[in-house]
This record gives sequence, structure tokens and C-alpha cells, in this order.
Amino acid sequence: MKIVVDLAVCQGYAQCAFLAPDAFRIYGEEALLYDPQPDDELRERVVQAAAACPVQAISVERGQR
Amino acid sequence: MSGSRPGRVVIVGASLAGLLGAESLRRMGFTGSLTIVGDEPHEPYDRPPLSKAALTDWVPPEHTGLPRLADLGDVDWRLGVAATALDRRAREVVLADGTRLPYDRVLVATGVPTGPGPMPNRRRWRGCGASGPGRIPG
Repeated sequence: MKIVVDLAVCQGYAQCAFLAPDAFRIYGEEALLYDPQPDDELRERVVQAAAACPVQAISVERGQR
Repeated sequence: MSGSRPGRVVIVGASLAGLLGAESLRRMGFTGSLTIVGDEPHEPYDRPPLSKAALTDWVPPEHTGLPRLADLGDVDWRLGVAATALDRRAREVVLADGTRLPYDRVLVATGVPTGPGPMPNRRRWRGCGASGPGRIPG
């Protein structure tokens, strides 16, 4: 699965890093690192993380590829 | 915008802006032929992770392809060949290999080339960032 984070929108709330730590990490105090192509088995967590983002900065490709 | 909208659209630039332009066209009902030209051989990829997740070896750089957030339908990808001219009279985009792509509408989404920034105090910046992602001291 592929995802993208709009880093111009991300405010570092870090909800994603709590919900899907294998796909999102906070580096230092506020810099977000993310895996643009996390394993499909992480889909549910990644979708939850995208939904939980207060500023909706995370986009997830729908369906399987 | 609604209903079926045919025609020929050529998008010059196969990165974020070109891809989002293509997705927006399809989402808004464009049903015509869509050609996307990119000078790099890669399909649209996400740049920020290259200097972060990929640079730190967390993810391989080939895992940075941008997601498809809308159904693009049929797309004629022309990757690895640069667009070199816009012939507005003939309404054609000219590629480096001589191919001419006729269009009804063209979207120029090439972005800008990188270059040295205006850094009057360049010596101050030397070495910054060499130890991984972090904040450059202001």
C-alpha cells in the first residue's frame, strides 16, 4: 500500500506515531518520518492513523495493488 | 464541471503536480486521452522521504512512489524523455526524441530546477545535516 503525508499540513500531533508506529515515527521533537509504502498487513492501523490525524495530512491509496 | 468531457490533455511533468493534475482531471469527469511526460524514468514519487526515511535507511528509496488517490483510467506515460518545446501554433508538445504530441489542452507541471540558494554566510552552513536529519542551527 502507498501513502503520502502532506508535510506542509502536518503539525506534529503524533497521533499517527502512536497508532501505527511501524509506519510513522517522530524524529526529535516534531519532525515526522514515514514509510511511504508500509506493509499491507499494517493497513488497518495506517487507515486508523490517517483518520486520527487532527489536520488530515495523511492520504492512503484505496484498495489493494 | 459535470458530464463526459473528451479531448486530449498532455501533462508535462510527472511528479507531484502532474499526478495531482491528472487525478483532478479524471475526478472532475475528463474522459479524453491523457498523456503524462516526465524526463525521469520513474513514475511520480514522493520527495520528502528521500531526505528522511530513505536517507536514514529506514525504507528503500524505491518505496517512495506516490499513491494514486483517484482512478487515472488510461494514461499514456512517456517517462524518461524530456519535453523540449511547446509548439503553440501546431498545438503540439515536442519531446527530446522528436515525438510530437498533439493536445487540446496542455498542463505544464515541470516545477523548477534546484540550484544554490542565496546563502550569504555559506561557511556557517558547512557540515550541517551530515549527521542525519535534524534541525539546522539558526
